Amino acid sequence: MMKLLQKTNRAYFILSASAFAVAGLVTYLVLSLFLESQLNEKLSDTKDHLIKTIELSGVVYNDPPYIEVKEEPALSEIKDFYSDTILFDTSEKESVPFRLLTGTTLINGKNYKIIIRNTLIEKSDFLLTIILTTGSVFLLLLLSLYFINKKLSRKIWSPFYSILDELKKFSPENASFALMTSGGIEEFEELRLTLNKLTARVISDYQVLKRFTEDASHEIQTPLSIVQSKLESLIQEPDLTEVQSAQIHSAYSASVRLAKLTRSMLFLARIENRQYPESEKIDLETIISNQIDLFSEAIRDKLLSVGIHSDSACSLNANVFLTESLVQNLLGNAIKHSFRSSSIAIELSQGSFIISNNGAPLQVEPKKLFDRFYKASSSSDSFGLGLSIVMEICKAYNWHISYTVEKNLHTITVKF
Amino acid sequence: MKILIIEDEKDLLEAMSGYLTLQGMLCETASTFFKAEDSLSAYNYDIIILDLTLPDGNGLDLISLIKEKNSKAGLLIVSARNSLDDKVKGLDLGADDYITKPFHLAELNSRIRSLARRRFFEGKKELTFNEIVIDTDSLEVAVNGEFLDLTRKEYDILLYFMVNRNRVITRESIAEHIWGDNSTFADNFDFIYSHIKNIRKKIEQKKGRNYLHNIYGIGYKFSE
Repeated sequence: MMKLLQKTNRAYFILSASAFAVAGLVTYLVLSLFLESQLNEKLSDTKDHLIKTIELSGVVYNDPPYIEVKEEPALSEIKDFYSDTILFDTSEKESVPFRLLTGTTLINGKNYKIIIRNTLIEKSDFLLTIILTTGSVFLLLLLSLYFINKKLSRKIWSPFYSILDELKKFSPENASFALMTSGGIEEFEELRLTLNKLTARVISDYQVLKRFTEDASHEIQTPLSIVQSKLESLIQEPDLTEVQSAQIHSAYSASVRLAKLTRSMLFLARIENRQYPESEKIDLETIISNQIDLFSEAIRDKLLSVGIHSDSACSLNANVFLTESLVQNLLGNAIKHSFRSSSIAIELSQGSFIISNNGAPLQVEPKKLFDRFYKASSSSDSFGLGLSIVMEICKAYNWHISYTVEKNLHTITVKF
Repeated sequence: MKILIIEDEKDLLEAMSGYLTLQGMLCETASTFFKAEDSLSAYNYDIIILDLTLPDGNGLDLISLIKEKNSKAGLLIVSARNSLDDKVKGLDLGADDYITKPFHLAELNSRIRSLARRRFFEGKKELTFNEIVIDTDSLEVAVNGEFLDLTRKEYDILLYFMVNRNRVITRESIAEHIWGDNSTFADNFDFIYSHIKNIRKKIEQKKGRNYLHNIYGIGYKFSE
């Protein structure tokens, strides 16, 4: 992932770099052509001047290596000929490139060979100069572009980032959510309106979904109570055969099970919809011992020992019903999944409730157990809603819950 | 005992009044708000069972009428809504108890009996079946004049049977009556069995007869 600015900068860089390279190359070619023709002209002028001097005064002027005029008796006439050469400059002690003109001329019946040389700017120097100048212009341009872009984009994109910040705070539970700012820029205003439509849709879908579970479970309850009570009445019939009463009873059991399921779903929906606002000061230890008493048969049956250890009285402000349900589900699970003759430890302190038991290690991640209708074993006759209920209760009060497993030791911690 | 059942679901109304009639109660029914107003204005009842969701009015509005016309009547609210809001409002307005659909008829009966005992305890706090007497005030049970040493759960189960005598009581209904929502966590039927075994043993020790009959695969029946 790269930032938008990075991307535009990269595009700018690639584009201007190639443009400058082409421009540099063209400059180089044009300039060298221009210089060459200039030099040729100068050489040819010098030659004309030399010839004129010889014609007028007969003096043969020599200035090696720049001007060499030789009289050669047998010389076939050649056209002026330009070429490049490199000579060793003794004064500067380095090789120096020269442009030279070779030509012949016939003056007063004498044949002269004329070579005129002129120092040439070194190609590498020439190239270097061009690269340096275009390069520095390029760099200057790039730097100014970068800073302008940076400054401009921070300004231009600021409404975008504020929309993003607002959007990050979105939760479907917050029904009054709406994005406010768009910085008066048409594109961002459009984005803002579209996002507002989208979030409004998400919020309403979420509300509908939340109501749906509640309404559906609610609507199931009345017909279900008719089924249940009719079957209960039917069971009372004195002349039922064994087959009949077994069939009625299994229908009845199923209706009871369904009733429990709808009750749990309704309960879950109600917690989600925050319909248990009443709260009071609760002594957690009292609730726990009540629950232990309710589970006493199961505890005795599995030969479990349940120990409560409390540092200080743990009291909290919450709904009694919800707190009972939390303890009931956690303790019930601990009992259900404990090995026979093992022990369950409950630790209480002001601010936390920890329950641990010994049971078979988990096959899945503990987090999964909080999912609705998730069952660790398919054979289990529970609905897989217990820990979801616990989770929802914790969410309702902003309590933090964690589940850890170490070998056989399962520990659930609730922090208030 | 005269009872008015206000419930808009006809089938449920029939099942409730059928069960309660068999328990020796005198049942009248009203399936609309309008009919309920009629009956409440005309007669006196000991217990009123009120479903809050009526087609032509909110059941909560009937409570004030009940308090006005039948102030001595015990009021049991029935609702499918299971919302604490309704429960609190109902109880605030003067309802005595609250039961959520779906319920076991035996549970409904047990609630009505306990409501009746609380409201009219003039002489009626004792429940008697032959040699067995339950004092619902002191939570004591006597067989042939001798007190039984029962645990709280054994007492609750015995009372549940005594109230729903001569009826087949399913194990599911007993489990929910005793353990409530905790009944989902364990196979309670074995626990019921052992509680009942204990009750039988304790009654036998006081030379009482066994009235708790197994109904194979379904539950139990408390009868002669």
